[in-house]
Amino acid sequence: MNEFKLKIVERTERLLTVNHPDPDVARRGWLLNVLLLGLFVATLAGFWIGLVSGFATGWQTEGEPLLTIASVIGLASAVGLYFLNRSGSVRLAAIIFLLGSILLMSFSDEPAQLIAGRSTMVYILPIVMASVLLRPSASFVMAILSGVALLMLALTNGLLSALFFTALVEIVIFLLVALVSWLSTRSLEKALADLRVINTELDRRVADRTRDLAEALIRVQLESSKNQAILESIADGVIVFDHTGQATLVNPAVSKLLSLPSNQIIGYKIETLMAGAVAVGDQEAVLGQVRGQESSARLPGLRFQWGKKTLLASFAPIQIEQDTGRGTVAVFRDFTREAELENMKSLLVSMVSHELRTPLGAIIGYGEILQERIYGPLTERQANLVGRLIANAQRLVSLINDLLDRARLEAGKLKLQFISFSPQQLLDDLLSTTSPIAKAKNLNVVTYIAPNVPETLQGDPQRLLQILVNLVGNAIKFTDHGAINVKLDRPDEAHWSLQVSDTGIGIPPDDQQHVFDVFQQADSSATRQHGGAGLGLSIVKQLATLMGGSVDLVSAVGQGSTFTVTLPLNTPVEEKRD
Amino acid sequence: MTDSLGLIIEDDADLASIFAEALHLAELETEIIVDGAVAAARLKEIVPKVVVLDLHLPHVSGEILLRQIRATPALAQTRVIIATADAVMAEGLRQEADLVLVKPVSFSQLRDFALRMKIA
Repeated sequence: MNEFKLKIVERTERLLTVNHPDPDVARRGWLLNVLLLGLFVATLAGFWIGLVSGFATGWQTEGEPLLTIASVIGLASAVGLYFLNRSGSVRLAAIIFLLGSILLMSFSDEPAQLIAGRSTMVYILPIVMASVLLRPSASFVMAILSGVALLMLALTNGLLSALFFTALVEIVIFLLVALVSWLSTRSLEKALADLRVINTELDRRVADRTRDLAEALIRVQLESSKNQAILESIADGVIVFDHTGQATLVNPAVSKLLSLPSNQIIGYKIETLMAGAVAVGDQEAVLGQVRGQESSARLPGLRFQWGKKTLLASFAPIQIEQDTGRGTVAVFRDFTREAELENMKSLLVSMVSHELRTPLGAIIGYGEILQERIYGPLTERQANLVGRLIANAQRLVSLINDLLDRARLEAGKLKLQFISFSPQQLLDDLLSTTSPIAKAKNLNVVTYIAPNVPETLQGDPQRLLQILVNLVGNAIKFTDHGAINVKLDRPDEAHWSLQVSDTGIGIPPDDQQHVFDVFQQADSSATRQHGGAGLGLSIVKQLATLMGGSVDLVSAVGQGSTFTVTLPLNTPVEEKRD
Repeated sequence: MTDSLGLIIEDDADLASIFAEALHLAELETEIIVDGAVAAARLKEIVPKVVVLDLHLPHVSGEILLRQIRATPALAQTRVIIATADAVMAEGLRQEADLVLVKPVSFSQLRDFALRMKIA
């Protein structure tokens, strides 16, 4: 029912519409069509009334034929004007309609009634219609034309003298109506014009906004496709986990790395992905990093085995969406090759050092047999040569030991003991190791223990001895006369120190900061003169650091150097036993 | 005779002969074995006073030989000197061995230790 109504309204609307680029003209055309429709309906009714009553009365009076003929003319005019109006000549159609209506009205009643009687006010209709159909001021023209028509009617019917004054009043009324009509139509048209401006502005804004949105959309798409391209082209594997720990985004590299298609990663949790491929301990470490999102700082990398591969993974928290919690982005790097190389390197170092030490042991051993004169007496020159043979072989052994220590320190494989030891024993061991070398250069190694150093200390005596042997050996190497002083002290309550001073050549200020670097001696010519590869001090530094201490150097060229190793004083702790 | 036997289990011929020389100077009779499996069998037959033991040996490692010696009641009096280049491994066996010497082993040191062990 409703649909049917809508259809009728729509049809009628379409019939009445006049297409014209000027919205005012179109509106007036539509109004004219409405009036013409009214005229059409009225004249159609008049035609049928005339026809029926004409047949009923046998066409005796002149009224019925007149009504019928007038109705036919009215119908024809309505249809003609309708088509004229639809063709776009709205103005012409309106003028004809208005003039026609004045003409029609002038014959619609007796002249006396029209001039100053019951029908005078019909002239108001074209006046009002004119301001609506043509333009607001057209009502004045129509008022004057109506006045003229009124006067003409009076003149032709000889009523001018009798009704002149009345007609004049009528004309004044017409003009007043025209004025009111003009005012109201004008303000109406102005309001409509304003509305159109507002609408146009609104349309422009909507268009602008739409264009902006479209551009932004294109930008976002470009940006995201750029990010996608970056993500897809990087060699590292990337997985983004949302706040629930589920993988939401992966790149092709990670599929390759984990040998899993992306659809078997997305939507799964890290623990599901790791199951069976990663050792349990490593799984916990990875989980801790994926979940440990409290700190906004980048978390350190984690190295672990995933199946046959060694991966280096780093994790960083990210805000995926505004409202949900934080997710984690995990970046996996294939570290298999590097891990293999590292393993090979440490294997090579330990193998080479073992293979080198065995023949060196034989050289030293045979040398000692000769030196001990087990196979018979030696001349002084022979004994001297054997001594040099042994000394050089021993130098080679200590170099290999240094290299091995260095490799262990680098690989983090060197483990420190933590046991009680006697400082006095430490110095005794030092003297038994270094005295022969010192004596060979006519130098004395003098030791001193400050009274406030405890009789028992905690630490790794072997490594402490290594530190001392390295420092004293170094001091002997660079000192030609004078003494080497070794002092154990306690600078404050929480620390104890090892101090080795010499009266040697000293180290220039510019070189002092480099002496702890690997393969570094203050002067490369010193290496040739004094021997050694410069590993000793770097090992001292690394060991001291490993023990939680530090090494300081004070030196003046020509006066000597003092190395001080300061270490935390760990008082013996009672071991807990159940 | 077995009371003064020094057994050297070392796969390097030169080191073995040097060790033998040192033990010889400590007035011990010496026997050299270069293979771990041979040593394991031989240790069931003889009761050495002192054993100089290398850790890296063919077929049976020095570590296993040390355990065997310690598990054999007949060898309760046998003193074991570990001579190895592997300082880390040696550290782990310090409790079970009588002496640990890290290569290169000093000839005179070994001689002196062996002498002391023989007298003890």
